[in-house]
Amino acid sequence: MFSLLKLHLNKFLLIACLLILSVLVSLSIGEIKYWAQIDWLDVAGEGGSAIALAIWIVFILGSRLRGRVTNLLALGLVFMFFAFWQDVLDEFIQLPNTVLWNQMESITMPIGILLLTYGLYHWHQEQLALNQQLRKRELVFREHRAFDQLTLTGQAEYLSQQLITQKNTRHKQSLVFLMLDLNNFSQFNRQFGNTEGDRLLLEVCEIIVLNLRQQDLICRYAGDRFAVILPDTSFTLGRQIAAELKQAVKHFAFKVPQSSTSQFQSLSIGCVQWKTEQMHNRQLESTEQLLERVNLALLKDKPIKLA
Amino acid sequence: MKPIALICYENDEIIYAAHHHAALLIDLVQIKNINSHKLLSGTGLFYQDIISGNKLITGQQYLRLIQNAQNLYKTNDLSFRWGHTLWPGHYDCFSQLLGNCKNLQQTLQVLSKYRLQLSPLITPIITQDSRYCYIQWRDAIGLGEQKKFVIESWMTGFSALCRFRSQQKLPWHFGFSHAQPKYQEQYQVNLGEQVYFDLGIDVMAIDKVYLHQNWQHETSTAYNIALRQCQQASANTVSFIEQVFNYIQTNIRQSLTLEDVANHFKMSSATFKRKLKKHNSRFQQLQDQARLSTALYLYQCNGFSNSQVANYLNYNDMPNYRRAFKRWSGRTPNNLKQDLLMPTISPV
Repeated sequence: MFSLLKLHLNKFLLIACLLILSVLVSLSIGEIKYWAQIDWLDVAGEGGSAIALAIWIVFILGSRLRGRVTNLLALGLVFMFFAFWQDVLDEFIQLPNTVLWNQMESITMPIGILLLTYGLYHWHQEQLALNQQLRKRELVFREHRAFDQLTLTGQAEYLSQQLITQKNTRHKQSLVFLMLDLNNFSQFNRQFGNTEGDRLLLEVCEIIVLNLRQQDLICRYAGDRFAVILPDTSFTLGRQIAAELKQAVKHFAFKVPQSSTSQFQSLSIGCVQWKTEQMHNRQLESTEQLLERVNLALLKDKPIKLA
Repeated sequence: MKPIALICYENDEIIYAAHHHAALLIDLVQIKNINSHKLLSGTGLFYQDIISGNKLITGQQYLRLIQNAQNLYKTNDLSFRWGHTLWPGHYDCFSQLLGNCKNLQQTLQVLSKYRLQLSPLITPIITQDSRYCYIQWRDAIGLGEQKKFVIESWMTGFSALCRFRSQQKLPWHFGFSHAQPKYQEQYQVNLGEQVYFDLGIDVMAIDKVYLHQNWQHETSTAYNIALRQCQQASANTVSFIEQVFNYIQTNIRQSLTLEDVANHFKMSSATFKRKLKKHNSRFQQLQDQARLSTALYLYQCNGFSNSQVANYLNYNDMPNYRRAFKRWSGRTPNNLKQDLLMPTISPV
């Protein structure tokens, strides 16, 4: 869960050193307060804030690789953390009332906030770049828990949510819905094993993504079945895209370590148009009906084997 | 009736080969880079034991392993993926026998004859009526909470085996005792469109014409060699739960009490109860299951009416029978029959 923290060991070492240093310096120039002098409400408030900031630092570093944005965010939080930390120390240690010391306290907090703000700006830029990479795998809303761990596409639940969103926002344009299934995938799994099967699914998914337009969405329905939403698309265009996907997968030469010959795959695709509103009734068909219809279309597209 | 002289095993006896079905599950979980120590925690097993190829494990260890696998794997496709790998498998001569059957009928015979080796957790019970062949999958070891997972695997596995051997997708119908789960799409993709839930029993059905359709079968020599090896290697064994269930089922028309059954198996009521508890079962629950499965059999295969079934099971009046039926299955007889009854004339 926090395996990324290992990348930031040096930062934590530095923070620990600074913590110890600040305690030592405070002790050397100040005097410990009497028990009665301590304002426990302040201790709780400032100490609690310091702890919260420490947790934020762990979360930020635990979820990010090394880099400029990470450094900015972490540095900003560290400055803010030390501002609160020094406040907490003040509650226990009476420090000499010198100008330098007072200034240091009131400067760390603004510096931290400035750095964090600057860092957040760059994080925003970075996030926009990452969104580009996730294009065709998510639309409108994000829900990481609904993502398939293998292909990093949405699962069936995310798909239904997306369909409902489409249904609510779409007005007159036509939407085409595809259901794709890899032919003879179980045979492939038997022959080459599940690890290779997973790799095949992942790579076929990539091929499909490469052949989609920017506004399209792919989800992994279950097993070797993928669903694709083509918004604002005519049925003719939808069928053309489906045919292109079939072609792309047909020409994909997948290599397995067990065999010197490439393993070629084929797709079956169910292609349906989400029925636009009828004359009097402006209701679209439900997502369940749509799923049923597309799965039926898919079964019809499956190659028939003669026994 | 005399006590049956069979070797009967319980769920704390080491009997299942760890390197067979269980190892396939471990392999699947390990694709996700999950630590084998975590997977085997609480089972008392080490990965070294499993790859040694001669470790036997108990039913309890098996269940713990399945539970761990589900917790670690997290997504809901594990049972189906496990199912696809189950058969013919690599269970020595038993797999060789299963993989060389000439048709569905022979496959079913082999599977139920060598069920300890081939189908260790669930027993297939095969019945036929004039039109359909049914496989009822019955819990053999007291699966408890893991039942849904194992049933999903087993049904997926058997239909995948048929598909693999026949080179076509056979038109199976699937009925499950559990309620429809959220991840319906897994059932759809792995099993097909003919899937029903809340049926009270776990059953697969297929038109009898598929029983004798010939499959890829190059030589019967391999089959015969494997058959001889299997006959030498296997003893006729039955699990405690199966033995109790069978006794109740055979005497379903006499309302047996817990004491009757305990006496039959020559143990005290207290011991009998304790043993049932160890197998995640209760006497009442087994009896309910036996009655339900009898009732459903009579409806489907003999075309009995509600009153005929009530009469057969010695219920004096219909309201009483309906109430009992609802307790067994959670549904009224007529409501359940809507999903259960297969068309008897129209082609599938």
